[in-house]
This record gives sequence, structure tokens and C-alpha cells, in this order.
Amino acid sequence: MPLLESIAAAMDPMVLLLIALATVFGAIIGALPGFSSVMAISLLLPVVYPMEPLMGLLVLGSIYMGAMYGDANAAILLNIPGTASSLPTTFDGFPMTLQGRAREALLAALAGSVFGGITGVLVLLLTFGALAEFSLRFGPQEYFWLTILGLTTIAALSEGNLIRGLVGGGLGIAISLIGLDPYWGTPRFTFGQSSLIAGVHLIPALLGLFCVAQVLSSLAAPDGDRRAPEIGRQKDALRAVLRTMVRRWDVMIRSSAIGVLIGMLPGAGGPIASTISYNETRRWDRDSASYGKGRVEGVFASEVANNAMVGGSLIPMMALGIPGNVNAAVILGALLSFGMQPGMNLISDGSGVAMSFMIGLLISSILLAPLGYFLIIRVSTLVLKIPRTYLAPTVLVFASVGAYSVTNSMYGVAIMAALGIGGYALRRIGIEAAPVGLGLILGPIAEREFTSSLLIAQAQGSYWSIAMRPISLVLIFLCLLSIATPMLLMLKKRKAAQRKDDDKTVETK
Amino acid sequence: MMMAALEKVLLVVVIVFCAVLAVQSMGIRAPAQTFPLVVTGLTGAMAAYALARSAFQPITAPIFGQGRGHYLLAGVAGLVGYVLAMSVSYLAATLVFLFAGYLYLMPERSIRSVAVAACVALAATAFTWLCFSYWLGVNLP
Repeated sequence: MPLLESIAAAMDPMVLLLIALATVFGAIIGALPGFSSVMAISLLLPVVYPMEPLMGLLVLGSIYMGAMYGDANAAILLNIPGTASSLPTTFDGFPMTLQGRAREALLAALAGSVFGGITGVLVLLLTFGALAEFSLRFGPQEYFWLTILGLTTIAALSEGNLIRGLVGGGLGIAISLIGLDPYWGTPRFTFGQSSLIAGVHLIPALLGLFCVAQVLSSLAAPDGDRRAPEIGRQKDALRAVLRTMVRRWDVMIRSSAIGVLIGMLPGAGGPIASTISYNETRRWDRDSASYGKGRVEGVFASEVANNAMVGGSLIPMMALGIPGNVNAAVILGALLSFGMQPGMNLISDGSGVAMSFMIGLLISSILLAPLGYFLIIRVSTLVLKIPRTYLAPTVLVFASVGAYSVTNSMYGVAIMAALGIGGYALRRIGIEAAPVGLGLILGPIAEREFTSSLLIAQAQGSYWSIAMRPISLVLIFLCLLSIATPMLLMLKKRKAAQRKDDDKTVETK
Repeated sequence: MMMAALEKVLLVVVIVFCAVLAVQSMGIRAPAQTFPLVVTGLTGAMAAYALARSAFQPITAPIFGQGRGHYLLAGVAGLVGYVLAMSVSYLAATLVFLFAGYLYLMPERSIRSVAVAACVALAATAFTWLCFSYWLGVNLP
């Protein structure tokens, strides 16, 4: 499909309306502390399932974009980050609220998110084709290692508990194996249950892991009833924000670059992008001591990187099939559910979905500006006044009816409830939902490519061929690096903490 | 204490689950046998390692934090009850579940707040029915 047709498909009035609605929905869910962006995306998976692939993907992408912006509102107004990515936004955003500059902080978050979102999607548009073309050199062996590289995301998602993260990932892959084996077509691990022959449906499983488990966590968490304060009138707040944006163009460019680059790394994601961006902005500022006391640049640094990360995380997902983070992994799950394959297939299938999707995402990030200014800031402030515990039954009902709708039976609801309650219990012992979900999504791909690699190796008479190819070796090195980096960072952190303790002991002596 | 016990029970469940799948994998014909066997074997081994480590470093957090255990238990029980009731009648089950849920989570109850909860429950039930049954054509029970 030529470029113009792709643009026309993304500009269809119905598509534009869906993009706008999804962006607002994502922003509102993102604003609710404890309700993550991945939960917002998962919650709408059953709704997009019967849609056309382009519409479905655009709804999910727009929710992702909206949620990455929306989380700033709770960070600024309540000092509670809507998601982990907006933690650095609280450092300067909440002090600004205390100083009566809440409106300026909210507008800075909006402007930063729009700028970051546009930059991220532009980089996605420019690099996707080249990277997808490069993926043509990949055989099953390379794809297998690429999937393993995606699974190493678990190391970064496990937050200092690598073994339990790997157990979660393995458990996710094991659950994904239930059903017919893809080579012989015989049932396996079904325990005689005919309903399990079709396998564990991905969407109810994700709804359980990311919605039900999250709701149960929020019920068990204290601090559920904090309400947002009133936003006072602030003259010329928008002008002040735009002026700072132009004056501090260096912050905008640097934060965008950090967001895109970190977004592309498997597992790094929003929290790392926004934290690095905030730290770098503070480090490069002459008046670094004033950060944390209400500097608008601090809000920009966090929010620009946060939304630039959206485009960045979709680059490896669309071009190579390795998600940059859990949100991208769930969108990859939806892509596969639509019967589409990432990589060059997305360009060569002639549907133009990939190009229309990227253009639609660009529209979503542009639409964020008017939607945020006229609607989202007001609605989020209202929503933040509702005690979030009231939302729990509503989210459970939406998840249940969604799980029912994709399987048209109670089987989907049972899967959702079992994985939700089980997922919450596992979370309590340090096995997070994200590695399990990642294993569920990437497990079938890893199995397919591994079996193909094994057959090729058997035909060639050497099992070394699975690993001893130039691109495979590079990917194996990246896998090791991806696992080792969080471990090294954790060791460094521990050493620094120990040094601090030692210094304290010496001082007290 | 209870949390440490729960940790061990769950890890044992994971190990047993992986062991059962690994044994079943051996019955699959090659080449489809290798991947499930490797995954379940490795996962079980890592869970066993985590279990061994938990003996030295058990989780010390309380099983229910800051007096909110009853919310969690009610949430789990409510969800299970809702799933069972939903298979009989979606509309009735949803309306009752939402209304009961709102009332239970309400910090202070008054005639006005109960009336608001009833209206919101009715609106949310109607919306989900309209969205899924009417627009998406799902045959809800």
C-alpha cells in the first residue's frame, strides 16, 4: 500500500475518533495510582479483538501513549506516581503543586509528553523499515536467539530478584505450552480436559495477570483514599511553559534521545528512561541544587523521556519481534492474535498496517495536546478525587466480561480468575506478573524457532549451528549483557549502600 | 511466619507443576519433546534453588499488611462468587457484585452514598451489556 493510502487509512474519521477515545482512556487509567499502562492496554484487548487489525493496534498504541502521559497527573497532584515511569515527575511536580503552580506543572507534563511522543514515533517511522529489512538476514536460529534476548527482559523486570523472575518467565512459557504441540499436532499437558486442547488463551491470561492481580494488589495496599487537591488559577501558565520549552531545547532533545534509546533496549523501559533523563538534566544544569524544589525542567526531563520511550520500545517489537517492555509485549501479543507477524512481513504483506499504525501513533501524540489541555487534565483531576478502591469492582467486571467475550465461554473467565489470583499470590513471593506475561507471549515463538533450528542442526549434522553463526553470536553476547547489566547495577548499588553504612559507623565512632 | 510458609508452599507447587510437565514431556515424540523438557526442567530447578534460598532468607513481610487483609479476602471471594454466578445470569450477577462491592469498599455509608452506589452499579452493568452484548455481539449468559 503506498504511503498516501496508509496516511488516508490512519486519517479515517472513525479511526481518528477511536485514537482520541483510546488516548483519553489511557491517560485516565494511567492517572490512577496503582493502575498501570499495561493494565489499561490489557483491559481493552477483548474490545479490540474483533476489530480490524489497524484499528485494534491503533487503539492499543494510543492507550499506551495516553497512559504514559496520564501517569504524570497523579505524580504532580498527589505525589504518587501513576506508574513507576513518572516517579521522577514527583520530584519537582509535587513541590510545584505545593507552591500553587500545579497548573504549570500539569501543562509542562503535557507539553513534554507531546514533544517526547512525537519524537519517539518519528524515530520509529525512520528506523523501522531499515531494521525490518535487516531482519531478512535472520534464519530460525537468529530468531530463536532474538526471542531469548526478548526473554532476558525478565532480568531487568525482576528488580533484584533474578532467580524468581526467571522462575516466573519459565512458568509463563510452561503455561503457554498447554494445548496442541505445534509439530505433531497432538494434545499435551491438558490433563484430560478438552477445553485445554485449544491452549490457554492469551487475552484472558493477560487480563488475569495484569488486571485482576493488580486490582487485588490495590485492595491490599494502604493509601487508597488520597484525593487530588483543587488546581488553582494560574495566569500565563501555558505561556511560561512554552517559553521554558523553547529556552531549554537542550533538555527536550537530550531527554527525547534518552527515551528513544532506553526504550529500544529490552527490559529497560519507562522508569529507567525517565530516571536517567532526570539525572542527566540535573547534572548538566548549573543550578542543579534547585532540582527537587519545583523546577519545571525536572518535569520536562521525566515526561519527555517517558513518552519518547513509547516509539523507542515499539521499534524492536515491530521490526524484530522483541518487545522493548511489557506494554510493547502485550501489543505484540495483540499483533500475533490478529495473525500478523512482526518484521519485514509487516511491510511486505501489502496491507500497509505498519505504516498506518505508525502514522496513527503520530496523530495520537499530536492529538494529546488539545485533548490534554481541554479534557484530560480536567477529567484526571476529577477521577483522582474518586477513592480508587471504588474502581476495583468495576475493573473486575470489565476484565471478566472481556475474558468471556474472547472465548465465548466461561472457560476464559476461569483462566482469567485462576491466573489473576495465582498471579497475585506469586507477586507476594517476589514473582512478578511481568515475567510470567512475557513468557506467555514469547514462549510459543521461542518454541517454534527452537524446533526449526533443531531440525536444521540435525540435517546439518552439527548442533553448533544453532549458535555458531555471526548474527547468533552477537545476539548471544547481547543476551549475556542484558542479564549481566542489571546484576552488575545491583551489585554496584549494594556496594554503595555498604560504603555509606561503613562511613556512618566510622562517623559515630 | 505465615508469609514464609506461603512462600515455600507456592514454590513447592511450582516445582511439582514443572515436574509433572517434565515427566509428561518425555512422552512427546522428538523433536517436539526437547523444548518443553528443557523449559520445565530449568524452571523447576530454579524454583528448587529459590526454595533452598528461602530457607536462609525467608520473606519477613506480613501476609496481610496494615489491616487490609479483609479487603483482599473479600475481593478474592467476591471474584470467585461472581465468576460462578456469572455463568447463571450475567446481568443479575454483575449488578449484585458491583453494588455489594461498592458498599463494602465505602468508608462511610449514608442514604445518599448507597443510592449513588446503586445508580453507578446499574449504569456500569448496563454499559458493559450494551458494549459487549449489543455492539460486539457476545452471547452473554
